[in-house]
Amino acid sequence: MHARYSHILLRFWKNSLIREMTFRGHFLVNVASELLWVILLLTFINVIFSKTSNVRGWTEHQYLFLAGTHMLVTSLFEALFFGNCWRISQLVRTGDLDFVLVRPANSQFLLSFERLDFSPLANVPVAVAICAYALIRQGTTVSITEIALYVLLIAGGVLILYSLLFMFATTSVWLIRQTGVDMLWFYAVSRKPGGTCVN
Amino acid sequence: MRKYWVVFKVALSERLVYRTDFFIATFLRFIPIITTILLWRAIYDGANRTEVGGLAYSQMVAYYLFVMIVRAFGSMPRLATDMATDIRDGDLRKYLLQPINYLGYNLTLRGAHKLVYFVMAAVPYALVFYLCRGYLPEWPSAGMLGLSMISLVLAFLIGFAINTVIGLLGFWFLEVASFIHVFMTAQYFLSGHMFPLSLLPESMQTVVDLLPFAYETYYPTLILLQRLEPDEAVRVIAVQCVWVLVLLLAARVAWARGLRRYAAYGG
Repeated sequence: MHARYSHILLRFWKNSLIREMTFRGHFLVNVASELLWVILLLTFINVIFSKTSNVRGWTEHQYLFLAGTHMLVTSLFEALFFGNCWRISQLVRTGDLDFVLVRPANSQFLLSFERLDFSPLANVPVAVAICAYALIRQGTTVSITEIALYVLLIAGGVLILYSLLFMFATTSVWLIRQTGVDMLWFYAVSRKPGGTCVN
Repeated sequence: MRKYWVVFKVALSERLVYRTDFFIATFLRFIPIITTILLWRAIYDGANRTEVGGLAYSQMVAYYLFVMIVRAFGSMPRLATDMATDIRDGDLRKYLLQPINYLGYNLTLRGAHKLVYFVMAAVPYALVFYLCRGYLPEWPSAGMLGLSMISLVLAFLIGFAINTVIGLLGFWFLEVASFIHVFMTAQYFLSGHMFPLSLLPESMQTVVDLLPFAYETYYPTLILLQRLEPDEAVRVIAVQCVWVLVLLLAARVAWARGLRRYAAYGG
């Protein structure tokens, strides 16, 4: 049972990689776009801390670490689950959900893991670099245990986000069109300018 | 003119179909306002100043509220993507065969979408503005209100024209979609949507002023906020008009040139 699922997962990721390699230009522009966003975010933090040295007790480097951690969690979530959650509403609307349901495997698993998005993964090293820079400038030393706990908490954060968005995406079964999934994501969590929001 | 009226009516009824979706989306749009209010409160407290970037705290909150109104006029969700997709997939021929101007058709469509949006969003907007009334400036004079309205309509036209030009790049490039994402990110910053442009260092402000984005969001917001004198507001409107003309002209040229490259087969 376990072996079968890891086999499917590997196959899904392989397919995603093949897909990504077909549109290499697309991948590069996406990475550039993510980097641009990081630069703008850092500019914003810089602007804030050029006016004040602390925001409710948070220093610039602590704030940077927070921003880096947020980026780490959201990038991992975007790479693993966002595209999949977003696709659920599309599948409901087009009726293609049936093809997922008839397959002889757990359908939540199939829906959650089918695509792996590679461009947000490029953000992970950038996020780690921001966190490391913030820690060094802050002069904080961390132990191995703390790092292990941090990694565990990051994983927990990704899973919480996944559960929320998946839950929200399933409401599309009743509401049919569900543009709210990306709205919820872009406005409430990632705070990025969403390219696909409605009005 | 009548055919555009029909397009307008069809677009109206199409938009009224997904109402639940609309209300969820409108509600979610307001979530960032809460964090914005809290963040800036903390920044003003931390800085121990009454003014940041030339704005008092209440004006800063009002700025973000008014930006939402201006963006409601200027944002064109999916316009560029839809155009690029029409071109790439060959769906454009559907419009070429009809006695209708593609750009005029899209402008009508967007006008209808905006109208539905304003009618349906009026209640949630009114509620949020009522709750935040303590941050808002005095009700403007009739003259300023008139100038604000003109500026908002021009913001709509600038938004339409910019997105059209980007979308029409689809005639020359296959993968416009990802480029559009870069553009949206840059626009979020350059238009003053992320934070008031007066917070930027002077040198950057000069550069940003030369681009159309500030006239799509930042300056119309300042007019609503009554941060500009009437003569300054008139100057902003004049520059907006110039940008509308330049960008619409660019769109026309791109359209004419692109059509010469365009080839659609079969049907």
